[in-house]
Parts: sequence; C-alpha cells; structure tokens
Amino acid sequence: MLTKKSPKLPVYGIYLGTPTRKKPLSRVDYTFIPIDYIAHWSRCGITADYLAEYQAFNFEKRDRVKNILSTIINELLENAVKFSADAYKEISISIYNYADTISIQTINSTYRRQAEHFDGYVQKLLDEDPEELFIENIMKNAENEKSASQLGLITLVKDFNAKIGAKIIPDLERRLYDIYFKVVIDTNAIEEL
Amino acid sequence: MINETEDYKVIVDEDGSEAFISGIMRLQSPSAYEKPFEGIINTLDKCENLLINIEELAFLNSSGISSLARIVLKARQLNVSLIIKCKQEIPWQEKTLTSLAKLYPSLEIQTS
Repeated sequence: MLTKKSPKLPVYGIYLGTPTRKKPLSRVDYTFIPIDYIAHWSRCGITADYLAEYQAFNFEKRDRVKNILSTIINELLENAVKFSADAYKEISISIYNYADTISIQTINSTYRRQAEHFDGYVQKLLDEDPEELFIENIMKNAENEKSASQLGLITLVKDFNAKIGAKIIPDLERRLYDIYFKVVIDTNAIEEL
Repeated sequence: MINETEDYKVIVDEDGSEAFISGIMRLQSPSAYEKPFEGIINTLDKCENLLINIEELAFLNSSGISSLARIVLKARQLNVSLIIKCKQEIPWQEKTLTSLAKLYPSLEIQTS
C-alpha cells in the first residue's frame, strides 16, 4: 500500500518473484517523450503495431499474434502517456522474448494522486476476478463519463491471460513516482488465445 | 449516415437496422467516441432490431470498448434486439463481446 508513512515500497505481482537470469532471444528497448504522443495520439498505435510485428516473426500464426501483441502494447503505451506527469519526461518500453514467454515493461512517472490510484487499481486487479472487475468498471463508466475507461489492464488479464506486476518508486526530489508495469505472456499459448 | 476518417469508418444504413464499424479505432478517451458512435446511439431510439458488424474492425482500444458497452447498455434499456457480428481471426472481438453479453444476455454474437 502506498501511504505517506509506509516505509515499504509497493511491489506487486510478478516483480515479487526472482528475476530471470536467462538471456532473451530478442530484446527491444524504446524510449520517447509523451508530448509527441499527446500531439499525435495515433503514434501509440503506430508504435504498438511496429513492436508487435517485430515480435510476431517468431510465430506461425503471425497475423493473430501481431493483433494480440499490438492490442496489449497499445494499452500499455496509452496508459503510460495518459498518466505521465511531465510531458517531457521519458517513457520507456522494453520487450524481451525469452522463448517461452514475452515480457513487456513500461516505465513512466506520475503524480502522487495518480500513483495512489494506480496502487489501488493494481491490487484489485491482482485480487479480484477480472471478468467481474470488467463489468463493474463498465457500469461505473456508464454512470460517470471519465477521461479513461479503466478497462485496458483488465482486458489484458481477462482476454490474454497476462501475468502482471507493478512497482511504484518515489522520486522524492521531483515529488513524482516512477511507475513500473510489466506484463508477461505465455508464448506457447498465445497462438491459441 | 457515415462518419469516416483515414483510420476508421462508421456507417449506419438508411433504414437504421444495420451498422458497420471498420478500420482501426484507438481514440484518446471514451468521450472521443461520442461523435463517431452518435449515429448508432441515435438509431437505437428508432429501431427494434439492430445488427452491428465489426468484422473489419482490426482494433478497438479500451476507451472504445467502454463506448461499445454504452451502446449495449442502451440497447438493453430500450429492449432493442441487438446482434453483433464479429470475426474469429481477430482475437479481441469475440472475447470482448462475450464479456459484454453479460451486460445484456439477449445480445447475440455472430462469429464468422
């Protein structure tokens, strides 16, 4: 839990496990500044399509895998851009292919209020049934128009069996919080999703 | 009624019984979908049956899913018989619609 007094950093899900020592088969690290994506929103989709296509070469059902990976990467990019505090502070996305899994991590920095909200959201996502959470959020959205649907990360877990993890690291000097979010997809199952 | 950009096309046919959504819809927020989905929302007030064809819609982001859910909820509210036609090759489509059917059990999903 992210509270002012808590000395413990919020770390959840797959970040709690031991990091793999395996060398990835492929690795892409990409950084950008949010302002470019705010100015031209379709850059999220363009980037997601490129990164998905890059990975899809390893699969037999290339089109299907590209569509799934692009859907996942686009949601992660859109979230990172929407919830960045500083339009000029870099966002990074890293995609590692370990043969049996593909790991996608985004890092962006956000305000305290947003970090607290994200903290609660991730805990709910890890603890509750994603199908029920999806319906619950749709009903909330129907009552109250919001700038964000709060559905993106839920759909990754619900539709693509994504394993997720999050870390929230305070940057005390800048009074911001670095949000690490990671999604891991099983490559053996992805073509059958 | 046609709402078209270089990325997507939303068409509601003249008698208001069929709508087509095609292309790529990854708009910035749920409110950004109001205009493109306006024709579908309005036709629900006037029809008893509506078929929405999304077979050629490659991508719909979570803001769009939230907006599609609004259409489903309005159909439920007005008791409009709603069919959504999707494509098996596009993985997110059937998964999303199966979840949306929980909002409106009489929503019929046709998969090609």
